Amino acid sequence: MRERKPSPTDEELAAWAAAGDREAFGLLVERYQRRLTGFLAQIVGDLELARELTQETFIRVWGALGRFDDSYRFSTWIFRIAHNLGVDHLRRRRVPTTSLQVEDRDGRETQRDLEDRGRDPLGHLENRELAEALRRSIEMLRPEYRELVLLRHFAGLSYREIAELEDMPLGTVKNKLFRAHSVLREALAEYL
Amino acid sequence: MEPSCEIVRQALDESGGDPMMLGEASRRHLAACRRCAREAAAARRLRELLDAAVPPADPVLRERIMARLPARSRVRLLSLVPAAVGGLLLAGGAAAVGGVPGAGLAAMAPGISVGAGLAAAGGIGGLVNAGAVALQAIHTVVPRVVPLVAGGAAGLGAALIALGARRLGRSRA
Repeated sequence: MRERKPSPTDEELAAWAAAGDREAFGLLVERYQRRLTGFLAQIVGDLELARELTQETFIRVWGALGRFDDSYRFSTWIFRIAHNLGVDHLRRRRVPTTSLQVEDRDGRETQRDLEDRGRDPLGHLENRELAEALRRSIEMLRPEYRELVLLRHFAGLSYREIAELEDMPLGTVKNKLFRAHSVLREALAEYL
Repeated sequence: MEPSCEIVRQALDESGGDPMMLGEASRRHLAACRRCAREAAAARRLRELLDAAVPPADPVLRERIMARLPARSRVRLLSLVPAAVGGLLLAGGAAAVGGVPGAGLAAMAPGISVGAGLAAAGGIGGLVNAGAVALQAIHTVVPRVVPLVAGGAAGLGAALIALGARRLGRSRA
């Protein structure tokens, strides 16, 4: 691996990886894998599937690094690839968006007992009631708000990165996220 | 000028309730305004909850991904495919329009075969006249179309070569 400064930018790592530096690519994987998995898990509603799609995203990125235009941010590029993969997967497999609510024989709504909590995107939260409330709150957001919340909090993108990715003015991103947060705070008031 | 509650709350929302991210005037406002202070606390708790909602990293995922990566040389070879196709198209196009010495014969081939066809057809008689007329039409059209198609192919070939060279250049950068 070439000599590099202590904290190279994503774009520098991408350029080195494009030239065949696997270690540089490994650093990008470390930087992005958790955020990609969290983001994809919210899109497809299944943590295991999200991990598979995260792998697929990185394989595609590795193959496409030669076409990466470094006048853009690496973060927005990789999340665009991940988003497309997640949405394509939903279309192809017609995976239902996860609803943990099911009706029992008497028509009462009960929480589905996930056989494998490891597949639940919020399964790591110990407070199950809070996890369920959070899942419902995110699910009930308007799609345009939900998308921005996922990009901000699960993908960890800045407001500017979101504006670039969504091709939206920065002010619009700020306003929409402000409203989305207000909706979430209201829905989760008893837990905040 | 003191910022309004609305401006301070918008800034708090962006900062996830972190007062240290605010400007000095907004921090002063926050210290004096109870409602904004409550907003700051709620924004902070929401951010903490959402932060905690991101699943922990899978410790083996990195190794799995790295093990699945194809060799970079293969990726590079794939990037050369358009250039190779472009080369073939360019050479074929140039040969067809006679740009390569001796290869102009290829362009003449349709004319020769059509001429032979016409001679043979004339010998058979009137019934074949219709076929001869058709062949004549082809004879007229083909020589005009061939240079056009060949020129197009050569142009496309050159563009593909340029694309391949650009990709290769980037992957080496």
